[in-house]
Amino acid sequence: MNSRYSQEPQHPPYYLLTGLILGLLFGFGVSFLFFPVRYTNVPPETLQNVDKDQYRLMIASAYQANNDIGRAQARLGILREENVSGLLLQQAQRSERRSDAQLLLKLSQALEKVPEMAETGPPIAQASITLSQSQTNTPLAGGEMATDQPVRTATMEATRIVATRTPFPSPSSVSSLNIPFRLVEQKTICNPAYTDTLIQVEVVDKKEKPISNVRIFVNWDGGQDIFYTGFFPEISIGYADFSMNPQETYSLRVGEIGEVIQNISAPECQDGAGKNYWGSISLLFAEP
Amino acid sequence: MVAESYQSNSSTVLAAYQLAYLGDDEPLRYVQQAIIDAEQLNFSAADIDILANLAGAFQGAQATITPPVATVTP
Repeated sequence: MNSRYSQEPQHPPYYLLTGLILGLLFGFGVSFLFFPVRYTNVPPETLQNVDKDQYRLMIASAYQANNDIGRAQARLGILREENVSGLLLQQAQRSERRSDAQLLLKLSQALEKVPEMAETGPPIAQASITLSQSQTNTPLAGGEMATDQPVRTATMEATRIVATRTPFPSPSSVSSLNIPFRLVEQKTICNPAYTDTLIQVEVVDKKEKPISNVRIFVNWDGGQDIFYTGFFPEISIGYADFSMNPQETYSLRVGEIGEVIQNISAPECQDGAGKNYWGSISLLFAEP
Repeated sequence: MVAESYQSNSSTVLAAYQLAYLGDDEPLRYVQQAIIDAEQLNFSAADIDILANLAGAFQGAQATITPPVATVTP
């Protein structure tokens, strides 16, 4: 009785699959061709290697103009690279233009002459280490950032180098120590372009205006460090960051009496290929 | 950095090329924004002067490129 129906072949709903594929193709087309993601205000360390080369070349070009090695070092420090002098030398060797190579070589050689600053990591971390060392009468090693502390003029070396580091806003006084900063926003940052796992902190006042030179205390099991806002004006004068060890759990406080944020650890992220990597944490603190 | 380089080479073409890395806007706009930021961040007067020099150079370049407005008389 139902033979007419039973003889009809049963086709899977291919039209659904076709629609899905067409939809995906259309979505990729729109997102990649017509409205691609544009990153703005990202830190220089996240640039691609080609753009980092261009950034270094600009630094070398500016150094050629002003011979300000402190300023050049501060700019190179933002790239958060080790062996900066060696990288400049390598870039000089692969430069297509002789004039570019000469600029890079000159800067590399100038950095070699001040080895205590050539191995720049995050300048803020160095500043905090210098403070604690100088208080225990240990010689100032790499104390180039020390002029925002009373101990800064202890050695000729510190005074000489600081005089040339001018691109950052001048931290005249730590006026925000007695503000009970409160955490108003916490975000997980999953950006595979980041080379470091960071605690990114931004501090703003009541009017949401960024505040520079705010001291931030970070503690972990068996260690502590201090860093300051204001050393990355390209991002925000209220911005500071700290490189995390993904295996550690941190607590953090902004100012002397700010809210203590416990259990900060690196979040686990996944890239487009399903590969896991460590992300960063962004914390926004505000004056209540 | 671009403004500092411009001080020594006086090439607005090179400066415009370097500023093009920042985006598609007119180079002059980036320099003007840099001056505003520098003032907010209390950069030294010398640094702001350097930026102003570059801004002035771009303004001069624009003035020479802008064609004169034709007046049509009936």
